[in-house]
Amino acid sequence: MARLGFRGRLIAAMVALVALVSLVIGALLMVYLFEDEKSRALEKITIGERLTREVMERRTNLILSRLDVVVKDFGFRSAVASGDPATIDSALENHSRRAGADFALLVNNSGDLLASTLTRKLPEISESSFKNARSMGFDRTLSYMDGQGYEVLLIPVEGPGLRAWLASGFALDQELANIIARLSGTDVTFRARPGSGDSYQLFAASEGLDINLEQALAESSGDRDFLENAHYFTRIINLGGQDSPDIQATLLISREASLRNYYRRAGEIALLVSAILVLATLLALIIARNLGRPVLQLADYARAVGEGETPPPPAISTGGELRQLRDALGDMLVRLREREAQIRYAATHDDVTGLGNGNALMQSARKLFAGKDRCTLVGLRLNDLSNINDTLGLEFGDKVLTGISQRLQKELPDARIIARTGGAEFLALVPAHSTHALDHLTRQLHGIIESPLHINNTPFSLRITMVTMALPEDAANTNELRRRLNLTFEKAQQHSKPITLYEPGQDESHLRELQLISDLHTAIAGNRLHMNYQPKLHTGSGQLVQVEALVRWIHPELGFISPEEFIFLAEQSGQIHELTAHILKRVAEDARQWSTLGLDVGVAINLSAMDLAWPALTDHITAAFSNWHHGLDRITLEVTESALMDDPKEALNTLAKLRKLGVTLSVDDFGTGYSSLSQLRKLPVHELKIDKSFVLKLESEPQDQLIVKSTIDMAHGLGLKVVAEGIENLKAWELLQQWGCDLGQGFYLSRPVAPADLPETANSLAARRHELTENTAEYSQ
Amino acid sequence: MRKPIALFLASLLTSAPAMSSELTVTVTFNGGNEPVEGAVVYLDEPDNTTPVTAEIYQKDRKFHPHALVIPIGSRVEFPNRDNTQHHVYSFSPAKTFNIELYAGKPEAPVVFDKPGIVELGCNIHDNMQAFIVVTETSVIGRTDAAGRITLTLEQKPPAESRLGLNIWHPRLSDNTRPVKRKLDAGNTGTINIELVPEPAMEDAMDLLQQRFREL
Repeated sequence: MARLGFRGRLIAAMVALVALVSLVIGALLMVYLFEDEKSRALEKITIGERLTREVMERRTNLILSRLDVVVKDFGFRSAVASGDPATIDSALENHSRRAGADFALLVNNSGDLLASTLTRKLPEISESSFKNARSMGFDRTLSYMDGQGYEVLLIPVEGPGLRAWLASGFALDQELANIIARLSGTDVTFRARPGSGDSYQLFAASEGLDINLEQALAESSGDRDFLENAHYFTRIINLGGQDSPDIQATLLISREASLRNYYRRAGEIALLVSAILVLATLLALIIARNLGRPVLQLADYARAVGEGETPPPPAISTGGELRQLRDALGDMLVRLREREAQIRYAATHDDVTGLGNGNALMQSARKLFAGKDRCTLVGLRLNDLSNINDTLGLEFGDKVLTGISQRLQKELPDARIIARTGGAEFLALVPAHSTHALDHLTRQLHGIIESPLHINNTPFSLRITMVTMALPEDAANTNELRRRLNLTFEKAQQHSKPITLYEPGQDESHLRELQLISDLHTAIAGNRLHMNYQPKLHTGSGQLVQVEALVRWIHPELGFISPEEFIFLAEQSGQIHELTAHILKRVAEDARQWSTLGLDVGVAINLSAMDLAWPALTDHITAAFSNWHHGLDRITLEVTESALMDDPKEALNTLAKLRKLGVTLSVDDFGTGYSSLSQLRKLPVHELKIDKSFVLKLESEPQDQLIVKSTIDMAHGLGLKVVAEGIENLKAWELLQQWGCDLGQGFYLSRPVAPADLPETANSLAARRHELTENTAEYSQ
Repeated sequence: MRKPIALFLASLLTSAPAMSSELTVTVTFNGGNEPVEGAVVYLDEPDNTTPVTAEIYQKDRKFHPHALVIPIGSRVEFPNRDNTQHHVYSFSPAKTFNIELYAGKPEAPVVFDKPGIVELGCNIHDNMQAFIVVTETSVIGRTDAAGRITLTLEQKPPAESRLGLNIWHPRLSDNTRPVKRKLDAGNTGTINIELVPEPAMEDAMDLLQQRFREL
């Protein structure tokens, strides 16, 4: 394709150029030839004109000479002088024949005719002719009679005592035309017109002229000295001079001959141009081949270079640019290899320490996996590099890193690779060790690296986190390696042990979390979360006053996901607001549904710690419960104690706003956070919800009983209501009744139920009301 | 015809009759600006003339004299004094004659018995030309270089009368006859005639011959 294209273009260009040049030259040549033929014809015709005039003049002179002899002839003069008409007639006849005249007249001095050889009407001889003849000795006129043109010469016949005039006519005939034609190489015709208004008539022509043409020529106008005729170059000559155009000679040169000539030459030129074109094509082919082959070789060479080979440069026989190109490609190859090496080095090395970088390590790991080798990965992270950089400067930090790398290189001489794979992270692949040997190695390494490092003559201690992984047992590919290594580092930093080993299974839970995070969004959008509601009962009356909204998620693959797990993940992945908004909406819908069924019940909704820092929270609540059928105080928002303690100031702001909204605020899981009582005092909440860990075993744990009882008392003292959750049995329920707890919630009372089942649950709870309140009277005192 | 009265005696040198008178005529051409020399002027009235014998000889292929004036009835000899023969002839109506080629003196002189102008030529020498003016009057003469001629009249013409004069010159456009003019009878008169230049005919022919030779 490329080959064809290049050669084709070259050939096309050359051939086009040659064709253009040849055609232009040919065309010019043809134009010049044509012009040349024309000008030559015109030249010839001009010469013919001069020649015609000359021939005519000489003929006149010759005739005059003859006539001169005739008129001086004594016999003739005697005859004329005799006065005898018969004698004069015969003499005139005889002597005019002698002179070769076609007719002759004799006139006396007074202009009276003495004799004539013509039987017809005589031609007029004007007075001016006589006058001219008297002064010049002769007079020449042309006349046209009986379809024939004549040259009429008038000369005096003079002798002693004799005065007469001889007028004799000489025909302009074919013979004369032939003479002129022969001399000038043109065809000749003679034509005349009887009067100035008439058309011309042809009366003589040289031999070999086409009759039709003669007619056409005869009819054409004679106003100009050049006739326009398609077949002939013509020239018109007024034989009587410019002022008497009545008798003319026409010179003709056949255009056919010239054109034939011209066409023959055109043919020759066309042949020549074709030959040149063929030659040019051949030449172009040869050049294209000669030029094309090295170009293709160079292309192959460049392609090979591009594919990363180092081929020998092609031998190029032609000189000049192609060789330069080859040399340039060669240079390019060298530089390319240098630069590749640089890039490869830069891509696989860390510029601070000169160790390998992450790419290099992963490359090495890939080889390892591919080779089914076994090996141990030792990783370490410098714990506070950013602090070092911030406080002591980047240069110092770099020195620290260099120191670590030197120590690693010294301590791990048999390492496959030692790399700095991140800001403060070093990884080394060392031959596989037994657990015991590895433990020994890592401890030793840990000690050595944490030993003081002398930088700028200052001992500098550093703290590191070390992890190990056995390959390929702990990771079978680079993705797993990367992920599990990070997990292990995270775990190590959480546990702050000097050396952490990867534990199989960690990664799977991590993967599960990733899946849950990604599927949660789909679940929320597709409305696939379920809401359950656990009733809260008034301890005094046993009446159902409120239900706590609990979100449930049955994952299509992983089954039931605990709310703690996915809410935590939602918080981690920033989906918690979405989830909260969704729950608010669902709860509002369900509550509306219940109210249509005549179930009058308040709702409690759990807020995440992150919801407290969500400016749009109040708007969402307002929007979700825009057509709430009770007062907003029947909506309780539960916030865990630990959430309130994360950022008390922010929590306080948000709570104030919510309070303004008119909802009821409750501190959830009370007793498990670290709230100070001083803070608790400031919180704008309405109730405390004692964590179920204090309630679950309330009937058997005296400490729990003490905590619960004093919490209830404290809350009441602060003007707060108290809710206890996790009531598992009647005993606990009764104790709480006894201590004046306001609301109770637990499996003993009711498990969480689906929204559709709540009316039934409410009915069954109403049925148990007696059982739940039989001892109330005792405590209500 | 009345006789003119001569009032002056200037012409007493000539033995003239008592009643004779003189008439001086000036002949001019070119509008009267130039005198004509050698014009033959004579009365247009016959009188008594006496024939004479004259000769026109040929020498150097020319006639001598070029113009001869003779009274009517005179004889003229044509002696040939050239080394070539000549064929003298004339077709003039006044006298047509033909003397075939000869040398020396022809046998008989030619008698000119009619008045008029006789033009002579030679058949073998085209350029030879001569004129013979044959007159019936003795009152005749040729103008001098000033174009003047004084004619002696036998009788004085009456006053108030007009005299008929013949004037001839070889270069008259028609030199075959004289020009006739009337003149007031007085002592003097001026006659203006038209003359052609020296014959162009010969020159033209010479030119033709030259061209002929060129061909």
